[in-house]
Amino acid sequence: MDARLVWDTWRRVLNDDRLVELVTHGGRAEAAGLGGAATAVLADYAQTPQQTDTNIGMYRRGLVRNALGALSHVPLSQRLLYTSGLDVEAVAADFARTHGYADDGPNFWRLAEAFVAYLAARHAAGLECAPDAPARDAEPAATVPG
Amino acid sequence: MKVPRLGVGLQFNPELLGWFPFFDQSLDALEVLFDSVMAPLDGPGLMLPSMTDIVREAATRFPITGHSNYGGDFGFDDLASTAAVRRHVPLAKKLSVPWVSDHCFYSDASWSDVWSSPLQFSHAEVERLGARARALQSLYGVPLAHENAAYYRTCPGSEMPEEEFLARLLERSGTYLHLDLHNLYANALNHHGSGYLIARFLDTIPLDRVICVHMAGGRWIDGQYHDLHDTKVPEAVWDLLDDVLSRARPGAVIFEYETEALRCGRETLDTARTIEVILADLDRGRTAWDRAYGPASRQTTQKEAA
Repeated sequence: MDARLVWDTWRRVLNDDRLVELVTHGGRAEAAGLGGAATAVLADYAQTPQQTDTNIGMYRRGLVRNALGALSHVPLSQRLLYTSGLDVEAVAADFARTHGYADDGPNFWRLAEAFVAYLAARHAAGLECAPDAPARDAEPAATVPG
Repeated sequence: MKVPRLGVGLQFNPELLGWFPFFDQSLDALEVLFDSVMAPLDGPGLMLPSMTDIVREAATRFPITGHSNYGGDFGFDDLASTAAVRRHVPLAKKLSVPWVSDHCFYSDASWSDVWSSPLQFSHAEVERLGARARALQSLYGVPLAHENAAYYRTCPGSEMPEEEFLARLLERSGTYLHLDLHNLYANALNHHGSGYLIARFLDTIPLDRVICVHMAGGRWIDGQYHDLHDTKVPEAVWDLLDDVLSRARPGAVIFEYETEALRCGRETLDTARTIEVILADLDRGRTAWDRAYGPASRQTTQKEAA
């Protein structure tokens, strides 16, 4: 089984709720329609649903931590978020989902830009809590993710 | 390549900044996480401005060693594009570290998928990653060590036990090992059903290539044991340390913690007690080192003896 193929397939799983469901809840790998070799990789991960689920959970929690860490590079936006009254972790988790569960890694400026764009769109859509809501007593995440 | 004998130290994790009195400690080594001090990969600079002064201060007090979680050492991207080459290599030179280590996980310009992606223990990857590691070590100009990973499942396509893979990899690469004893312990707990054996692992890896040892704690959650660095070091891991120190000659034993509220059973400790636990672990580590190599064999005790 080619290591590059395994890596590429695993990263597709991490970014795709449908594939996540398949490998963590006993779905048939063939149903994903990825082709023979990738299907074998999916079937392998599906054999260990608990461990695979743990790995996916770690990945997605990492995205939240990294998003909040990247926001430290744009402190004014960071401050606005932390004093908005919103559940900061939930906002970052929703950002990760709408960002396609993409992992920008150490490209923090790119990640910060995407997060700020998400916050602006959210604001424009009126999804923030009422202006008079009390600010949460939340602390920023670590300066740097990881 | 020469590996200095430093002694017992602590990982300089930004999670500990602001509450742990690093600079009050008598440490033989301070292990700096390059990922945490480097400038973003998509911007200018080498080090985060907020970290420059504190790292410089640390370097005046302790021997600095280099460590990373996310260098991309073992990814699929072009090596020249990785954080390891673009940030960690110049950081290693700037800080004059005696060695650098990173984990046996796949990663590219990505971070969060690292922990879910242990290397494929296959013959083809021995060849590919061995060549990659050799090239990276050459860029560093100091020993490059690979840390054995804690993982929940092996990579599909693996063909041999982890320890055999590591032994073959080092033979191909000429690089070194960074032996994390808590990862070893965690894997033994999580994979005992599939025949994972610590004794076989330690008998198979080239112990003379171990240049650093990690010590940490963790705990069970929902039937899986996790390497969370949020407890004191478990007794079984102390036993492993005594065994390894008697058979290997590492340059340092480094302790890792990631929270200001360590767990102790069901109790969550306050910061003061967390500091006490960390200091007690460090003290026990020094005792183990001195028992193995003598009382004047650490960086700090050598100075005192002189």
